[in-house]
Amino acid sequence: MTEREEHDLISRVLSGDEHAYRGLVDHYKHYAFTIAFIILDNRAEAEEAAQDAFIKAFQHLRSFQRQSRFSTWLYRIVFNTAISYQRKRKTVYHDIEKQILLHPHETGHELEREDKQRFVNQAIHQLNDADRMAVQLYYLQEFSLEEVAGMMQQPINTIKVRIHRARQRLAQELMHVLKQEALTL
Amino acid sequence: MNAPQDERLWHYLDGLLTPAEKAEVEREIHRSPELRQRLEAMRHVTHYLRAGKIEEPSRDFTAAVMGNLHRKTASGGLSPRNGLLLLLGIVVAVLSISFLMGKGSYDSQTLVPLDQLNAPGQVMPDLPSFHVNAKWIISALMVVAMGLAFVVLDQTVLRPFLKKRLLHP
Repeated sequence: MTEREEHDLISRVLSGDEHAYRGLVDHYKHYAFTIAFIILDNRAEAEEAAQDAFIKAFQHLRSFQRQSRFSTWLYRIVFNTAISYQRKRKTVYHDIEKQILLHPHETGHELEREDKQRFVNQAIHQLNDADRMAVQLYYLQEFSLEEVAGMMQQPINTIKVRIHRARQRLAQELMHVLKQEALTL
Repeated sequence: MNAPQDERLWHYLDGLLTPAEKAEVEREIHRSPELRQRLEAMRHVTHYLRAGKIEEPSRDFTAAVMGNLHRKTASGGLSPRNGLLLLLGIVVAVLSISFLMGKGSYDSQTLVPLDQLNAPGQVMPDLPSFHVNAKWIISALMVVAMGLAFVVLDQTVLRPFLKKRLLHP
């Protein structure tokens, strides 16, 4: 969808054609849901938060300044909505797949690619929330440092530090596993 | 890990080095098995992060949004924990005041002499004096506080709890 088509849809919505909003939802729902999922790590909650964000965006569409991209504005709403969901909940729900723990000391075999993948996945959930979100959003296709900074409402330099710290920590954890693997060979 | 060296390795993986810097890093990697191992870990992390996929929402996602465009959205209100703390605060305040009322702390009446407010030289209408019953005011405030407590209980504890039970039976 071009920026012009996007603005046409927004104009139609603002002039009372609510059905035009369907085009925007269809176009952005995958990224919106993925952002919410990165933050909440639970499909049901992410779905609810992303839907809530689209509804909020519709209800506040008049306040959207067309100087910026609609996606940037929308993703910020998604981010804030998901964060407020995260704050409200007491229990952290993880997908069952992510709860399968891999203990490096217990394996005598070479770590297979899939196992390493699972290990990094496990390690990433041990990062602090802000670092984890920054690094995952940055590597999610399309997002630049500026966009991640805009979404998280933090300075670009802070985001740079978060990304660097997160991947450094992940590499460190993985190095530890690789060393253990070398010792058991 | 050596921070400046790691920074260079990340830049190498991100393709941010000049051809000369890149060649130098490659020479170092060739010489040092430790550096190779470190780079392998970094490469795997980068690969994993880049492989992060775009998630697929449910099929009725759009329909759910379009059917609720005018619904009141969840506001960024109190968390259940803060709600419980506020509720506890209100209950403690109400109980403390009830205790003080039982002890007769608010039994006295205060006279408000509005008829003596006239300053010399000013023309003021005659105002009556009246008594303020502190007990009556405190009782009214307690009723309001109890009402507020019920609203807090409903909005921050009961509703989120029931909603969560529905989402994760």
